[in-house]
Amino acid sequence: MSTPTTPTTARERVAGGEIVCEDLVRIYAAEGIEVQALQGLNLHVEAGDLVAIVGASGSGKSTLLTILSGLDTPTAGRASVAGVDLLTLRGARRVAYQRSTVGFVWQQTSRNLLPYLTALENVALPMTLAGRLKGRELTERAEGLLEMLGVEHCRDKRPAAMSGGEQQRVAIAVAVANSPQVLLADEPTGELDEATSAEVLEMMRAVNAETGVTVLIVTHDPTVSEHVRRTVQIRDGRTSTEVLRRRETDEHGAERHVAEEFAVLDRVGRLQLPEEFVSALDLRHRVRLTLEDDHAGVWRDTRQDPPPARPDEEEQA
Amino acid sequence: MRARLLVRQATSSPGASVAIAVVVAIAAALFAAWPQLSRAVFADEIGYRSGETSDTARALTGRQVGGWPVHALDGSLAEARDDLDAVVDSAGPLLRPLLGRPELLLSVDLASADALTVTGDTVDPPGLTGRELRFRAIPGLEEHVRLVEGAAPEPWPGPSWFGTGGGREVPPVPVMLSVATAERLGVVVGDVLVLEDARLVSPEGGTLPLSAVVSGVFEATDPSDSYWQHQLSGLEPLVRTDPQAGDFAIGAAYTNPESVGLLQVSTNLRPRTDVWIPLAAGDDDPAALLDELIEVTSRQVPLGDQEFGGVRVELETALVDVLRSAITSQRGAAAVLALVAAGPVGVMFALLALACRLSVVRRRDTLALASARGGAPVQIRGALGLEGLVIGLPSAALGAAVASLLTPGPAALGDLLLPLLAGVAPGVFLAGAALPSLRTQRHDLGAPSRGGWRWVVEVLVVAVAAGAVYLLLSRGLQATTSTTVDPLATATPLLVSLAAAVLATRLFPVPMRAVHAVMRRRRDLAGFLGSARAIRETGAGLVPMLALLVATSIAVFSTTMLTTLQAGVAESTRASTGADVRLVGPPYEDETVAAIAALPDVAATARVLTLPATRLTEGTTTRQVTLLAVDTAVLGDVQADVDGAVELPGAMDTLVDGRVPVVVSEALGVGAGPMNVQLGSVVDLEPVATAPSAAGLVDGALWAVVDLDLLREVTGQNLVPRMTLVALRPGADSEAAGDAIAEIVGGVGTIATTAAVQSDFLASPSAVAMQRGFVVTLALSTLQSVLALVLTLVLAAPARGRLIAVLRTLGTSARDARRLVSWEVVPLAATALVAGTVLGLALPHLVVATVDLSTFAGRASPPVVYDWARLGLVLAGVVAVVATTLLAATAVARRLSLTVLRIGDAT
Repeated sequence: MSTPTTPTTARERVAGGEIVCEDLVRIYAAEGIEVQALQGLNLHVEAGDLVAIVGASGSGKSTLLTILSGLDTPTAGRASVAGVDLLTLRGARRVAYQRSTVGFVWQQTSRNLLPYLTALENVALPMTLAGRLKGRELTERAEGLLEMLGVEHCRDKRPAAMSGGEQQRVAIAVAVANSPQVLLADEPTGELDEATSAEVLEMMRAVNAETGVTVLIVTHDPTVSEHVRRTVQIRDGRTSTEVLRRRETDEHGAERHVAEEFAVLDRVGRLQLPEEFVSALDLRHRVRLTLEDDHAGVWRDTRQDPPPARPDEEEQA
Repeated sequence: MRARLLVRQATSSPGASVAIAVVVAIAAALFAAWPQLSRAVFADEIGYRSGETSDTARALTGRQVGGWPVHALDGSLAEARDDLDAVVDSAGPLLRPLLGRPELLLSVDLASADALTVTGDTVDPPGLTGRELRFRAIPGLEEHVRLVEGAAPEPWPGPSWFGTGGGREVPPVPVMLSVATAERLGVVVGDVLVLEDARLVSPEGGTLPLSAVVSGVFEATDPSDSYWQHQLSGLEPLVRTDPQAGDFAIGAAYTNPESVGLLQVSTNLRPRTDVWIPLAAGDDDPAALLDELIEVTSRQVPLGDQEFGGVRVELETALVDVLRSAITSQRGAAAVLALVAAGPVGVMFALLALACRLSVVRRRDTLALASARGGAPVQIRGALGLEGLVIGLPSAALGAAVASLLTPGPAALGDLLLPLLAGVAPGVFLAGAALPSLRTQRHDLGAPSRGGWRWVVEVLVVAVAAGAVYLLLSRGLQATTSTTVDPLATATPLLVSLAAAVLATRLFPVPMRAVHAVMRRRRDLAGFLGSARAIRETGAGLVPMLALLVATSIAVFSTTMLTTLQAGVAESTRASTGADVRLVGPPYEDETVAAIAALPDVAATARVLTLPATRLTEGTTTRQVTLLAVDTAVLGDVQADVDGAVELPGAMDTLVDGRVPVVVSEALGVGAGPMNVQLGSVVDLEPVATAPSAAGLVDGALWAVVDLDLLREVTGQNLVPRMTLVALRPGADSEAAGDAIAEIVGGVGTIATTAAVQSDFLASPSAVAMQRGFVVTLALSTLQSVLALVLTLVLAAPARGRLIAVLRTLGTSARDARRLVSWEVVPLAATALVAGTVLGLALPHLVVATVDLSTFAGRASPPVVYDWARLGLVLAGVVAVVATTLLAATAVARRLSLTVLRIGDAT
């Protein structure tokens, strides 16, 4: 879970961490009320991958990120990051996990950077907390990280003196300071304009490409998916669909982005039909399925039965 | 880098740090100053009381009990002096350096009188009716005198038949006198003085006269030496006036100590041994000194040869009583002050906890981020704790240093315990604070409610407080008689205050619901919302409630305590003075008394004639009683305010069947039959009543009161009273009245006014310290209330800021938004005021029941006196201060609660 060697240069490659979530459940309980934020979420992210998770407000994406960053513990299911089991994460192991396995960037700059520290000091903070590097080495690595993210000119500025884009770049530098295997980002572009957003997202891609760190970006901004290879959509506490992008170069040498959308199928075969499919076909209560040689068909139940007790959009394939 | 980050983190919220530093510094200063001031007050008290004690009263003195007198026949005198030196040598380490050289005084008297009448060759000097000599010997006298004429007395050889020679010769005893004595008695060196009543028993069984010869006269090398104060009329003769016969002079004649033994065995004179050891005043450790003194005075010291029963003396000194009363008074004051100070001390630590919480809350985001970035709890708590120590310890050191500079006397190591505690407290509180987390969560969900535990803790606090009060009350006055600080006695008021604050916080919603019900019907948003918040947002600051409650209770308690003590002092002084003004001394002629009665400030006067040792006969029983002849008609008016004054029935100034009506003390017997007294002639008395006491008139149990004018009429004697009691008109200036009276009597005799005695009394260091302590603690707790209110308002600022931001977007006026702040504190302050007043009214009962206040108020447990007018004024003052505080705190809080509402802000 921790890096085997002490990386001193900013661009040193790390072995990316794999993220595995199976039937992940998180229930917030108080007297008389239960809020099920995650309802059996399944997610698998390959090591070194760059994945975006999109979803509407309240879909559970922030809960997922809080769990992955080690701040919260899931109620049930299985979750592991770079081989670390998050359900049993406690005490010293949690500290070690947060120090060296994950790094994160939050939406609000106030949460990423300490306002009274300069950029350099902010980057130095997690390294100091981890206590692996000292003195010159530490400063050099922090400077290298700032340089890698193109904000070396902000070295001695406090966050208040930086632009939003600069703040988020410094935040990325802070997040990867301890060479984590996984970088988590919660709405990293939420407070930025479009151009700066693209810049920051490109920077994350660059970090992913250069260091090999697994990057997971949570956002409700659909444009983010244009910058990542894989986009997972969360709906009602579950992963529903995925969009995979690849660049294809045709026979004329022209490069084009190809995006394909898939529905997520879990271990036991459940899948969510996209909202537009459901509304377009006016699917309600139940559907008829047919199995063909190379695909499965979904048909509307034409009998228009009165609604049964349990409204559910799930179908068995 | 690590150090730089630590410093940056620590200095990121300077406001809270400054608040912590200020609280710590003030706390440390007070904690350090308190014991030093307390000791200084104690030393002052000892000095003040010792100052009222003369050298002679302070010295260790003793008169022989039993046995044979020390005499020089067999060298006992030298042994006796060695024994006395041993007493000094064996005294405790504190006492020993204070003790001077022990002295022996051998008096040679008749069993029936302490002076011998002498007749001599020379006639009595003019104006003298008689001459008397105190016959004595002091070993070592020669070191203190210089012979002016003649020689020091040689040892008396004794009658001739005692020695080898026969015959019936009785040589005179050689003595020497002081110059002044010789002059006043009219004797010169060589004079032979016949000692009347002194007899030698001759071998034949008859008696022979004894005479003395003046061998020399001396003067003191240092007449002001306290050595001479220990001997009656050693240098100057005493002149006693007998109205019938004339003046008698009584001088001291010093014989050789070695004559004493022979005088004892051959004459009817009886030597008696007195001892004195000078004792210097010392105030190092009065309690230990007292113990050593008690050790010395509690045993009999054998002097010289103990073969024939021996001579033993019991040493005594007035210092024992002085120290005892000083210690009692100081302990009483210290106990009362500890009771008062315990509250603010507790509040001080509560405030520190609050300030530390503020310090953490204001840096919540950064601390949470540091923790999420991999800061282990140990690291973060360690950094916070270090920061607390860095703030706390220097502040505490500074405060303690300033206190040490400003207070007299050296600081003891133990004094620094509480300041150290105050210095360490921020570190502990900061390190122990609940660490914030970055995890976003709904405040109403997730965390299990702490309400259950809070109930348990609160019930425990109330139960412990009740138990402590019960224990304290059941132990009674013993609480303050032990020498060590009693943690229970000290902690109880704090516990009671805490319990009261807990109860007040719990009961607070009850009246608020009524207020809310009224407000709900009105078109007033601030009132409605404010009262609703006050009821439903739990945890309406226990700390500000405690601080305000303690401040109020101290104000009320101090006022009541002062009123109680003043009433007690007034009562006890008036009981001993007997009236507003008491004149004692010269004979007061009727015209003088009439002139006094005519003064504008004087309401009434009563003359008192005291005839001690009057023989009162009832049936066959005769007893010596004190007969008091007074103005019976007005005595009741004059002594109207006096507790324990004798109550006289009316018509005591007229004869009952030819007998004088008399009121007798209860000790003389209730329902006694007719009686009479011997006053030259026999006066028949008719008992008309009995009374338990006659305060201000007489001490002792056997007395009788008759009318002065009636007694004059019956006896036909001009009985002139030597005491006059004067009652002043209400509102009269007693000092001016005293001066006017002094003018009339011509400055003769003593004039004691109750007011002067009382103010003298309240000026004693302990009493002054107590009053000052009240003022200091009151000021301190007021300051604490201000701080508590500001801290609470600042702590609540984020929540209030969000609420106000929402309300402002909904169109609430700025004025209503401001009034919401007032709604946070005004109901709380009102509750604290009420609860504090009740507590302040109740606490004095606990004090009078558990603290020995006898040295202040005349008796250990004076009744609690409430001066409602004064209390009203004090409460009005408290309300004014609290209101000003609220205004100021609200203004501060408003400045600090300006926030911008941001959509999606989770915190």
